[in-house]
Amino acid sequence: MRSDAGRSPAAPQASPAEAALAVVDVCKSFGHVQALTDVSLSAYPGQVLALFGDNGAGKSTLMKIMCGALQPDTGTIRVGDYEAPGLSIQRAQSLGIQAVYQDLSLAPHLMVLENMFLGHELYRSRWPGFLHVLDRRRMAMETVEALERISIRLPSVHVPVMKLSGGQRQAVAVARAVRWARRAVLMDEPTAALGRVQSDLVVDTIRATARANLAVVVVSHDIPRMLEVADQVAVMRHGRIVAHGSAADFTLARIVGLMVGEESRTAPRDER
Amino acid sequence: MIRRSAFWVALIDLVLLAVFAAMNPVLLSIQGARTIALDSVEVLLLAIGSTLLLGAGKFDISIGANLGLSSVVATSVMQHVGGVTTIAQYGVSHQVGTYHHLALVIPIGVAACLVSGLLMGTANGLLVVRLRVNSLIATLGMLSVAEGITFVLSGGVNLAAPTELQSGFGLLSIAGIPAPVMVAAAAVVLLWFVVAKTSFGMRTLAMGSEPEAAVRAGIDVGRHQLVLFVIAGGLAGVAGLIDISRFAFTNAAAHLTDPLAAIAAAVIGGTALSGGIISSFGTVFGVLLTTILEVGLVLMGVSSYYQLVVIGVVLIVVVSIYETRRRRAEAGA
Ligand SMILES: Nc1ncnc2c1ncn2[C@@H]1O[C@H](COP(=O)(O)OP(=O)(O)O)[C@@H](O)[C@H]1O
Ligand SMILES: [Mg+2]
Repeated sequence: MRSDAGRSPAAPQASPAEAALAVVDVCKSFGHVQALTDVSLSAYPGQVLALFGDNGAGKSTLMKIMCGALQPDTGTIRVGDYEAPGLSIQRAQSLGIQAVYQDLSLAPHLMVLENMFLGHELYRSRWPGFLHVLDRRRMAMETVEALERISIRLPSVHVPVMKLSGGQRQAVAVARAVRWARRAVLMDEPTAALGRVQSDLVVDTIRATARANLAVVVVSHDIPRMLEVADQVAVMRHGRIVAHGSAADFTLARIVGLMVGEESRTAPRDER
Repeated sequence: MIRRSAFWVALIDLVLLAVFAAMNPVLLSIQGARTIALDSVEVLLLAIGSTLLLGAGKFDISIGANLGLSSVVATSVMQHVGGVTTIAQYGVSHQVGTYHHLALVIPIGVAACLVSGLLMGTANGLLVVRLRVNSLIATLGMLSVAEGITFVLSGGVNLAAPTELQSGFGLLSIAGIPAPVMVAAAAVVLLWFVVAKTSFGMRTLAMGSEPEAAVRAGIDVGRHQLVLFVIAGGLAGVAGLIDISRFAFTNAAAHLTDPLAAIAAAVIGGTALSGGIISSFGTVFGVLLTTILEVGLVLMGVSSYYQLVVIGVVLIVVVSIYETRRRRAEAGA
């Protein structure tokens, strides 16, 4: 069983030598499907780690384990000083980890501002604290700011998310993750529903987030665009990391080859 | 803050009221209004719990059995402490003996009623949250359990509660407003406040809208759902107390279909069956719809069983309208 006991969240480390977030020898299976096999991966503060792999390679499963949405069967997760066989969502959040899920995980009936602050609500100070009376005005203002920080403008933050386009929803999910992250942002296909211009905005956001000394892990099928921002690259195939190293060592052709298995598993890899 | 659906249901209420009043003007008298309001109280309390649960994508169809059990638990306890028994002759209950120690009996009875309701709500919540039983099935099972216990406790007899509960609460009016109506009105205001203003309400809607989104926002969804079931159970306990306070006898069997009326009222009022949307005042107007139908039909001399037929038809029509609108809205998005 997991043991979350006795560890307190540490401040994000500035030293690039220490990983902001690491998984070690993680395995995960769903019934007969072995989704992850002995996966070890580290994300460093101020760096962008791009994670590539074909559909079903296990990218989303790995991302969910790193943000506490799934528990691994075996292996270890390390976040700063915290080390355990798994993370709860609450623990991951208190350690400063935020995620953009592939399915976005927004509540469609809730307004944009409510989704932005769900779980982090602001309360009106005029009312007794135990009532938890929402301060929607401040939440709206800060939602607009959070969206502006990633250069997104919505007609209104008071509309239910279900009224937004796919691209707008994705923008809300990205803005939310960036708004609350203190250590690492994990983005699972954040540009899937986006056009060219909006994808560029997400890439800018990734860059800005890394510049703020957070670790960024991004899963994407848009390999060329991600290679523009990535410091590190990892390629997954059939639930294993088949290559991991400095982005400078990777080209589009090599990544695609690794994804489909043309290059052997013993291909050169950066042992850091 | 009033949703459009609530407005439409209120309009239907007014039309129905006008139609029935045209046939029997007594409906528009103060007495008519009091009757409709009082007869709405118990279903309204159940509907408030149902509204919250529906908003979170859950059901509790045992709240009627909970009402009955709570009233029987409370009355049994009061009879025991007060030295009273009830016998039934030819299907009519008679109180044997008179209640002693009323100053003790009544507070104990009130507490027993509320605790019974809360405990059953807790049991439902634990079944759904811990054992992950579908809420419809879990509460269907609990309905049966509660009904059985009710029968064992009462022996199938409608038990006699102290008449002091009637004079002190059930039949009491303050400034012309019946005390039970005040309780229900307070519960409605509380429902509206919680849903519209607090993070509890927002989180309730979030987990009904997309449970995974609520989990991933770091919310303890299980604990929250448990609290919702406890609230619904507690409100059923309050309704049970009002039941014995109004009639001075339990009538558990009469309330088994109340949850259907309560859920129907909430849905007619615009609360989404699939979660994510709550219409607090819609629930009030939905309950009034069912009561106006009942009272109106009775005044017309028509069997109130036709009320069930009419409510069923209204429910089906309304839900089909909502579904069509929802599908159109989603196709347009
Ligand atoms: N909840 C689940 N239940 C069963 N199988 C799953 C589940 N999630 C993922 N899988 C399986 O695990 C494998 C990896 O999935 P995933 O991590 O989503 O891959 P990717 O994101 O790289 O496309 C796939 O074979 C997928 O079908
Ligand atoms: Mg995926």
